Amino acid sequence: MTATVEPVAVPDAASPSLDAVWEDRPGIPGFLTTVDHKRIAVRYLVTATAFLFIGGLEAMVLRAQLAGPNGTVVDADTYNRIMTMHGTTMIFLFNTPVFAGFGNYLVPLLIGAREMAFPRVNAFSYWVYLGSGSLLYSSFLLHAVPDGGWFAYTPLTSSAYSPDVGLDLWAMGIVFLGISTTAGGINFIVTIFRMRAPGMTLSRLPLFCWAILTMSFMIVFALPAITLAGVLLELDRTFGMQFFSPAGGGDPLLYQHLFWIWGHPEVYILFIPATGIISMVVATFSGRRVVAYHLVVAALVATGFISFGLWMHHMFATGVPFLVASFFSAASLVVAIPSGVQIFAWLATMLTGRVRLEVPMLFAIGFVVTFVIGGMTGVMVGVVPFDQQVTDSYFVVAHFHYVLIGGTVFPAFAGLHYWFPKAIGRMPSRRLGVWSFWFTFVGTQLTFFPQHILGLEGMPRRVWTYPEGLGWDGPNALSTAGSVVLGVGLLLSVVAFALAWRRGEPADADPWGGETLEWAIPSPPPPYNFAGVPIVRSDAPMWDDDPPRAITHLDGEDLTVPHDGHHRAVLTSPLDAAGLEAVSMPEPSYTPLVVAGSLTLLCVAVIASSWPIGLVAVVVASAALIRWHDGIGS
Amino acid sequence: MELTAPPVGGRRPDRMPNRSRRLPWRRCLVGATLALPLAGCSDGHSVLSAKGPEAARVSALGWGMIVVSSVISAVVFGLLAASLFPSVRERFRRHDETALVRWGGVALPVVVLLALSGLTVAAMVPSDDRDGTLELTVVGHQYWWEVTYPGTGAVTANEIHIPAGRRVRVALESPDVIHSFWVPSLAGKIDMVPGRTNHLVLEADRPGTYRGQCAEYCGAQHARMAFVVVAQEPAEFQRWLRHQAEPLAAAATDRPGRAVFERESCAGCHTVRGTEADGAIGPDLTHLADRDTIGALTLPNDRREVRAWVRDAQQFKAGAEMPPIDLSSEDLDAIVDYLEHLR
Repeated sequence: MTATVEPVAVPDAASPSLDAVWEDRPGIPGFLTTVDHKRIAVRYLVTATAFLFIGGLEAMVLRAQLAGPNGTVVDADTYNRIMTMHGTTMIFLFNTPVFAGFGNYLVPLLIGAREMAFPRVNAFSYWVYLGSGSLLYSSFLLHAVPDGGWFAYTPLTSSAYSPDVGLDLWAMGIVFLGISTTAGGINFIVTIFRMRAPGMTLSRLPLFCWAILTMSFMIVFALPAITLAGVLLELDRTFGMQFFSPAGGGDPLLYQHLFWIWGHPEVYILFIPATGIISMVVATFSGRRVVAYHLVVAALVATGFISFGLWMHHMFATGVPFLVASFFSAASLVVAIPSGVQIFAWLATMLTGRVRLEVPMLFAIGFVVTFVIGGMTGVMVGVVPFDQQVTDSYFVVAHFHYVLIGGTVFPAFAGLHYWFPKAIGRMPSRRLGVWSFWFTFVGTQLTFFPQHILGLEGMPRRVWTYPEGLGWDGPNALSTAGSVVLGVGLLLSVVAFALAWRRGEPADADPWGGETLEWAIPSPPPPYNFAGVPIVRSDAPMWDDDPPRAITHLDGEDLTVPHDGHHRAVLTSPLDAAGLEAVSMPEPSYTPLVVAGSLTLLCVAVIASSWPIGLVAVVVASAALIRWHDGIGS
Repeated sequence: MELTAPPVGGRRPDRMPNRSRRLPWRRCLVGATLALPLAGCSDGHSVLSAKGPEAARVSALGWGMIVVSSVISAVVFGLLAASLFPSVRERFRRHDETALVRWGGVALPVVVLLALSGLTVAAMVPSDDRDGTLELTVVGHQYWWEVTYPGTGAVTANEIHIPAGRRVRVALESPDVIHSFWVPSLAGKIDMVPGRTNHLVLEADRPGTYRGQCAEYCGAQHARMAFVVVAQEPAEFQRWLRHQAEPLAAAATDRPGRAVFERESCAGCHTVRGTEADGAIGPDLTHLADRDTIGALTLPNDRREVRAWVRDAQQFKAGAEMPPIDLSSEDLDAIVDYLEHLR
C-alpha cells in the first residue's frame, strides 16, 4: 500500500468533482433511489419522531380517559385498542428505529467512512420499516385495530378470543419489521468492523459506535425469538395449529418465553445506543473524554450478554419454580452493575471536566436523573416477592416509562439537539430548547411519579376505567396533567427544529467543540462525507494537538477525484483498522424500494389469504433481487 | 362488614366504605417521603400496608428498598449538582478520576445488590405448611371469579370468604384466557394460566374486607373484574360456609320469579342449587342475596341495580357474556324479586 497524507483541512479538501458522482439525482427519482446513509438516517429520524407523536397522541387519549374515575372519553373497546397501539408504536415504530436513525447518520461519520457497508440494504431497511409501520396503521382504516396489548399474550390473542384481522396485522407487522431491524444490525456490524478510518483501533472506537455495535449483536441474536413467536402465533391463528393452546398440547407460557427472550434484550437494544449518545454529549459538554473508557466499553458489552439471561423476570407471577426464580432474580440485579458503571463514569467526567449547560447537556442531565429513578425501581422489580406485588400494576408502568422516557427519549432529544447543526447546517434556538427541556423534564416526573403510588395502591395496568373511592383519583389527575406538560415539552423541540430548518443561524463545522470526526467536515456534510481518509491517533481525534490528517492518494488512486464514475470507499482490517483497500460501493437504485414494497404486498397477501397477490409479490421481489447488484462497480 | 362497590354512571351504592376512620401513618408517609401532595391514604388495597403475613414480608422489603434507593439516588443527584460548581470540580480533579467509577459504579452496587439478593431469596422461601391449611379454588373467567370450597359443595362468585388468622391455600385456574389474582394487602399476585393450576397463600391477620382485582389484561372488561376477600372470625366463617354449601329449601324459592327465571334464558347459564336452574356459564346464584355486589364489583347488589343489570348488562360491562334480556316489566320485577330472596 502506498499512501499520500494531507490535512483533513476541512472545507478546502471538499471536492466539487466528487460531488458530481456522489450527489443523488434531483427530485423524486433521487428521493426514491438514494442510498446516502445521511438521507436515509434523516428519514428514519423524521418517521420515528412522527410515530413518537402518534403514539403520544394515543397516550393523551388514555390519560384523558383515566383523568378521573368512571371516565367517559372512550369506551372499553376503544381504550384497549388505543392502549395496544400506543405500546406497539412506541417500542417498535419509535424507539428501535430512532436509534437506527442515529446509528445510520453517525456511525460512518464517527469512524471516518464515506458510507455504510451495505448502502442498498440500508435503503431497504428503511423502506421495510415504513412498510411495516403502514401495515400496522392500516388497521385503523380497516376498523380492526389490534387489541391484545403490545405483547399480545395468548390465548387472548388466539382466533377464539380475537377473531378480527387486527391481530394478524400486528403479528405480520412485527415479523416484517424484524427483517428491517436485523438487516440494519448486520449492516452496522460490518460497517464498524470494516470501514473504520486507519488508526481507529477498537480501543479508540467512539463510545457511540461501541454502543451501536453491542446493540447490533444483540439484535442479531434476539430478533429470531420474536420472529418465531409472531410466526407461531400467526400459524395458530390462521391454520389452527396448537403451539400455544393447552387443549392441543401447546402451552401459553411458551409464547411468553419466546416473547421475552427477545423482549428483555430489546429493553437494552433501546437503552444501549441511548447511552452511546449520552457518552458523546457528556464528553463534549464537559470538555474532556469520558472517564474510564475501558470500563464503559466493558459495561456495554457486559450489559449485552447479561440481558439475555433476564427474560423470566417478566414472568415471576406465572408460577415459576423457586430455583429458576432465584436465578433470574440474581441476574436481574447483576445487570444493574454495568449501568452503575456508566452512570458513575459520566458523573466522574462531569466532576472532573468543565460543564457547559447547552441544550443537549440539559437533556443528558435529565436523562441521568430520570434513568436513575427508573433503575432503582428496576432493581426493586428484580426482587421476586416484590415483583409479584407490583408487576402488571401501575408501579411497573411508572418503572418502564422512567426507563424508556428517561433512558431513550431524553437521550434521543439530546442527540437531536446535538447533531441537528451538523445534519442541517443550522443552529436550533437555544431558548426554545431550554423551554423544551424543562417542560419535558417536569412533565415526565409529573406524569409518571404518581403512577408508582397508584401501583402500590393496587391499581392494575391496562384498565380502561376505575371506580372512585380507592384513593386513585388524585394521582391519576396529576398524571394526566403531567402528560400535557410532557407533550408540550417534546413539541417545543420539534418547533425549534422546524424553525431552524429554514431560518436558523448557520452552523459552522464544529459548533460545540466536539471530540469526534464528524466535526471535522462541513455542516451539513458533503454526500461523500470525507474527501480523504482521516487518520486517527487517539479516541478523541478532534482534540489532538495537531489537526487530524487524511490520506488523499492510495495505491496511485487520487481519492479526492472520481474514479471511473463510481462511489469509492476504503476498507480496513476488522481489529486494528489497518491494511487500506479502496473499493467501489453500490450506487443509487430502485431495487431496495421494489423489494421492500413487494414484501409489504406479500404480507398483505398472507393476511388476506390471497394467493394470486402473493404470487405477484414473490415474482416481483425475486426479479428485483436478481438485479440487486446492478450498477455496482467491480 | 363493609364493601367497596364501585358505582357506575353516577349511581352511588348504598353502602359506601368508611375509609376515613384513621390515617394509616405509614401510607401517609409514602406521600411525605416521596414529596407529593397526594391524598391517597386509603385503606384495604395497598401493597405497603400489609394486612397479613404474606404481604407483610413484601411490604417490609419494599419499605427497605424505597429507603435505600432514595439514599443512593440522593447521592447521585448530589454529585450531579456538584459537577455544576467549579469549586467542587477543583477538589475532584485532584483525585484519581476512575476511583469514583470503581467505588460508586462497581463496589457500591455489588455490595448493595449482594445483600438484596440474599434478602430476596430469604423472602422467597415458602412459609411452612401449617396444620389445618384451608384449601379453596378460584377460577378466573372473562370477567368474573368463581370460588369453590372443595369437599363442601359451596360455590360463590366474586366474594372470597376466609377465616382470619388462618393460612388459606388458593388453587388458581382459568378455562379461557390468562387472568391474574391479586389482593395487594394480603399477597403478591399469581397468574391463572389455562392448562395449569397455580397456587397462592392468603392469610389475613384480622377480620375485614380486602379488595382484589384482575391484574393480567384479559380482554374488554379487564377493568371490571374485581373481587373482595372477606376475612371473618373462624366460627362466623364456618357458619357462612355451611350456609353456602346448602342448596336452597323449596320455600325459599317459591316465588313467581322462579318460573320466569327458568323459562327465560337465565337458567341456561346460571345455577340455583335446589331448583331446575343448572347452567354452568355464569356465576352460581344460589345465595346471591348474601353478596354485596354484582358483576364482579361493578354494581351494588340492590333491587334497582339488579333490575338494570338483568335488562341490559352490556350497558355496564360491554363485552361480558351476559346478553341483554328482553322481558316485560312485570317479568323483570318478578325476576329481581326472586333474585333478591336467594339466601
